[in-house]
Amino acid sequence: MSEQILLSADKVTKSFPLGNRKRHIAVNNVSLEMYRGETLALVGESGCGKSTLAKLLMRLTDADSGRVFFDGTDISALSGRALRPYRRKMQMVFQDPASSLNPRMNIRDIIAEPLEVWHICKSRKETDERVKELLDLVELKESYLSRFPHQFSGGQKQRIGIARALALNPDLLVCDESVSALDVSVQAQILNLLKRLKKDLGLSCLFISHDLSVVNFIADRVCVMRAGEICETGDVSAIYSSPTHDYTKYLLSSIPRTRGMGNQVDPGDGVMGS
Amino acid sequence: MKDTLLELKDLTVSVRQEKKEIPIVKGVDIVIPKGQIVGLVGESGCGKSMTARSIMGLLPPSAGVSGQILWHDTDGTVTDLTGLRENKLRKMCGPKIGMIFQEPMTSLNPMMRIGDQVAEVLLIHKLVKNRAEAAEKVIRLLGEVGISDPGLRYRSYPHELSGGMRQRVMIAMAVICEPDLLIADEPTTALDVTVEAQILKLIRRMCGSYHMSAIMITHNMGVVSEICDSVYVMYMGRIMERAAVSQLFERPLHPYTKGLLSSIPRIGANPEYLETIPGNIPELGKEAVGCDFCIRCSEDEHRCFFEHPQEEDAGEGHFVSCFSWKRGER
Amino acid sequence: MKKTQKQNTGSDILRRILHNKTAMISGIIILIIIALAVLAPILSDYDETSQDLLKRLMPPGNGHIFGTDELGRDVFTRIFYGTRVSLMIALIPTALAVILGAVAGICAAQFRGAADFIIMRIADVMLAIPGMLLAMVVLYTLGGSLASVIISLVLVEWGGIAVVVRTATLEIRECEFIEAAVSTGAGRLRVIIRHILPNLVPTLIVLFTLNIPSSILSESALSFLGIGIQPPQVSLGLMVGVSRQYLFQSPHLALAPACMIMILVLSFNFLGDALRDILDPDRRTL
Repeated sequence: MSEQILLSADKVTKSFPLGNRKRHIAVNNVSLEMYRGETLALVGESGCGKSTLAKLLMRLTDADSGRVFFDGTDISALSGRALRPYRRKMQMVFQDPASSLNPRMNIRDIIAEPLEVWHICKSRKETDERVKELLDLVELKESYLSRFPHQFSGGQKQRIGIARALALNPDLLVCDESVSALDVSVQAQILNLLKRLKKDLGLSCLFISHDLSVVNFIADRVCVMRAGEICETGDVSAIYSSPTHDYTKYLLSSIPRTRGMGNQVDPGDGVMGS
Repeated sequence: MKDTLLELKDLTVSVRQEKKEIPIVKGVDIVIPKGQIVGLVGESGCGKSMTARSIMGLLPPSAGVSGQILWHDTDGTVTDLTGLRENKLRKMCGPKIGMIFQEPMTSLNPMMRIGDQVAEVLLIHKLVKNRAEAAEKVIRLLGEVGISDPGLRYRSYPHELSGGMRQRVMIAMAVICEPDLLIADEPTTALDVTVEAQILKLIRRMCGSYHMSAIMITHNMGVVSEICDSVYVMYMGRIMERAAVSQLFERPLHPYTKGLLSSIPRIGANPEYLETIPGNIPELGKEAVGCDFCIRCSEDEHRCFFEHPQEEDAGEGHFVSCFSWKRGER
Repeated sequence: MKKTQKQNTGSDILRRILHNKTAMISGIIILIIIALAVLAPILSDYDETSQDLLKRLMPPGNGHIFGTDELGRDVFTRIFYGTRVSLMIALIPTALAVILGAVAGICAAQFRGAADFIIMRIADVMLAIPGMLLAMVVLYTLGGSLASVIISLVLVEWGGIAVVVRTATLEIRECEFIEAAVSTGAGRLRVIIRHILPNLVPTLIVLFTLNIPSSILSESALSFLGIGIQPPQVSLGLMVGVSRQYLFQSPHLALAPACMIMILVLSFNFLGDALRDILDPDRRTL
């Protein structure tokens, strides 16, 4: 793995108005670095700000303060037209496979949309070729092209979402709880697919999840978030075998253990009040 | 059987949809012994929720039920719940059966103080003389389910509480009449891991202190392993395998159970890729001639496609519906 | 349990319409009425304006199915010519109001901020003035004619439609596929045309069908009051209005066009309700 920084955040803060003049600080003064080719996971419980942080990094919302660098460029200052080339390099796979696909578009149109937006293919035929290539990449059949989203199961829809995200050959793939809505047997398939794609295409991946076992499988490094702040960052093996922060220990001790299946974690006595 | 509380015999549930009968649950036998927590585990669409809901008579109007749901009362009488009328069944809900749902936000009335909602249950079933007595009992129970400052919280509205707190209120509501059976339908799916662990511990404790049996419906094998005594694995409306929890995790016999267990990423083991069950969960209403699992099965043989496997005894209270379980045993 | 999703592809919607009795029956009645109105000159031996003062106020029968009116004109013929005008009034202003309302609603929802505020406040003002009063003011200023009736009805109806479309658009905007489109770099116009509009179509169709009856009724009321369609043109409302004086001598003069209005309004209402069930756009917004 090359130690080249792809994406970094420098003290970003984002708050939302709560009414009665107070503000909820969703992301508080967070700095992080992500290297090219790695899978970085943001874990934490609901409301800890991990999704907001991802949106800040992708510039889907604007930060109150702080800066975001992509490939060495400060993208937090860019707007509109200047930002567009960076949009192309960062693509997202969403949580809910049902609502992330337009129900009135067929699969071909859904996957072809990014290609059309960027005028990447010269002819319709070339677009079709590329769409078929992408379908093949996510292990779906070509005959699905003219079908509509409701004709697919959750796992298949998520594959379509992945194909759409890969259409532009992005540098960074952001997966926001992309496997949490899926059944266990299907979740495993999608996890394998993501891992394989990452390896084959040399993608960097920002993986947002609340599920520590999933993160353990897919990530290289982990950022544990709590209440808008990162409380611990480290390599997967280090975080899971010897967590230093009390909250990380508490999280790890809460995972339901599957008996007789070798979940050997010693979380220490990290017990905290709720 | 002396210490059986509830028995489902050949339970079948089907739903009418656009003039077609779609079978959801296909002849399920389940026994809930007194004082035990029984897990019902499976993926979406396997019929686990419908099975539990049929006990309470909470099925959609388009659903048809056949088979027996036998309730063994403390005085030795046996009633078939499927034959009970609506109002008789409602009288069971509360004093005899309590239920917890997945989404604690929508199952509480947003316009009512939580204490009053819990007290309501007591008043409906006339288990207390007046409101004051009900309130006293509710406050004691709210404290017991781990709500701090229950006297004050009694007057809160649901939106003022976190998801975990709301689920505690739901549990209080389900157990306040000290029922014999608790049905929990994915009680921790909407919650964070840390809260999940607390809620599971709480359910376990409440079952112990009130001598309740429980049915735990979940898709999460981890939850089953944490809390249940025995477990039924469902797929496509049928029971594939049943065993004591330790048995099932140490010696899974059905290819589906094995696949399910190996699909879960585990902390500690770091494989390059996860073992998966190939294919997708088939659509409801697509009836297989043979075993429902055969098209996704890795250990299928010729007859799997033409015959339904019968349940076979694998010893030690372990039953499996598969032709090839012996071959597959590792 | 998995929720079976309603499928909204073209062929599927058509299949569901064919299976829905209410939609089919009301649809067929509407088609028959439209056919009769279009073919009126061929179907009738009489001219809608030719007078025959010798045959005034004749009861039904004698070659005149619904009798004749105060100037000896054939009522049956006039009803179909009146239906022509009433249908035109039903379809044209409603269509214009839906287009105007949809544009206003989408703009308000998509641009938010000042545009949203201004558009919605104008719509609120329109909604606050009683519809009939607004239409009467417009008609008094512009004078009664087909064109001014159309203008007044568009003004009355667009506000309500804009409010519904805005809410529906806001809901669609919340869906992740919109965010997905934005993150691939799609521009605003593309998002509106490719993603929002197709998902609004069911809502718009239902709004259109459900607004037709109120257009027909408003036109009838305005013409009845004598400020809508002016003679020698005919409309159903005008026929009822004129025959008011002969109500006791010749009740058929008022009853026949009134029944036609009722059949038209009920058919469109039933069709609208059935379409709403079939297309199932969000019930909360309708």
